[in-house]
Amino acid sequence: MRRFRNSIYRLLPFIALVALIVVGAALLYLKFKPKEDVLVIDETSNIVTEIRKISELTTACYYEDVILKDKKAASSVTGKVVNSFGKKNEPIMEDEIVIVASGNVRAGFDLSKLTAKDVVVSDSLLEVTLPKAEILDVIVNPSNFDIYIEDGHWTHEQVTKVEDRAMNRIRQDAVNDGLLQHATELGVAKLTEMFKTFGYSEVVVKVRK
Amino acid sequence: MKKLILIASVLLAVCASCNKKDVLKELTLREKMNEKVSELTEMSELGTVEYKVTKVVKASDDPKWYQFGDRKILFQCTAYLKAGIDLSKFDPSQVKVNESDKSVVITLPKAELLSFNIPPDEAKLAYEKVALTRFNFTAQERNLLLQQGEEDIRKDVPNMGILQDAEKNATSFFKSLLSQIGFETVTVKFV
Repeated sequence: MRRFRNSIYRLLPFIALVALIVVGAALLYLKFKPKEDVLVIDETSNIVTEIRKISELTTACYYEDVILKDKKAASSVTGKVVNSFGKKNEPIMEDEIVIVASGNVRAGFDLSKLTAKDVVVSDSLLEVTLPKAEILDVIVNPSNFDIYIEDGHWTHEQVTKVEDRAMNRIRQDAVNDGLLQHATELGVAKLTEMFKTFGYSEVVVKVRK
Repeated sequence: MKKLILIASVLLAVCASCNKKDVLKELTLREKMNEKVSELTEMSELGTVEYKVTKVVKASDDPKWYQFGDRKILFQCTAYLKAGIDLSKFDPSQVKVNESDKSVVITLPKAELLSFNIPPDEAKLAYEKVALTRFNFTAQERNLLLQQGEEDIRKDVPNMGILQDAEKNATSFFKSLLSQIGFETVTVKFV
């Protein structure tokens, strides 16, 4: 028995070395592991499900890059085990995601809201009353999202929530930076100029209050 | 032997802890988060038609020789495409007004795709299957698949007929507007 124990003691350094090499190799693999080939989607058809006639005059556009960060309790087995030792609302290990979103907000006038009453012609005077300028589109497509940091597993729904937050922030920033006012001023100037090319010497373009 | 273990341990610790790239990444990110990158630009576009397009984006990640089990994913996407006339390309000298017979000939630039929008909440994950031996799809992988779907719809735009519809609607828009402001004959052309 003592002989067996002695031989084990003698082997311990080797066992430790082998363990270290295995862990080292695992770490090196994780660090330099070959990237998976980019998956290619299968060919599927694009189906037009609705066609809508619109009359939208876009006069101003707002562009912004936003960076959004989200955290949640770690979803890995190790994380769950570690977190079970901490408080329920204060996880010790967290998953993190950082998304960079580049979005466009387009604003202008929905001219389908123009009624016959809004256009008044008398001799060489043309008076047009436009509907209020509004946000026509907030655009952040998949190609405008960059997943900058992704630690842990994030479900599609969790990522969509962060992306929605990015969209709302871009929309809100656009409004705060005066996009609608800018769109109104530019719209009035452009339409005045355009109507003048149709031969009216006096053109008054107003916006509904 | 002890020395060997010590050297191996130090190397291991250095390898595991020193990730200079990540530190730099985190620094630039912090800098970026503090500054706001935005721009307000003017434009002049008349959107005359909107197409709602749905697409199934699906991919199968079959196992390679060193893998076991496959991964499959399927999304249901909706894209909103708006087309119309870029009025910044409109040349006012191309408007020919004849006051005697109250007619006007207006020449507009050709219709083009003005906006393309796949809202994040309209790219729905419909199905996902990952074998126990494989990693889950990451957010980045899912986004790359959706980007391919987006690209595929964009490529299909010339075949959809949206540009023809946009010109047809632009013609009816200008005819209606110009007749409202007193013209009896309105001719709309595209170059």
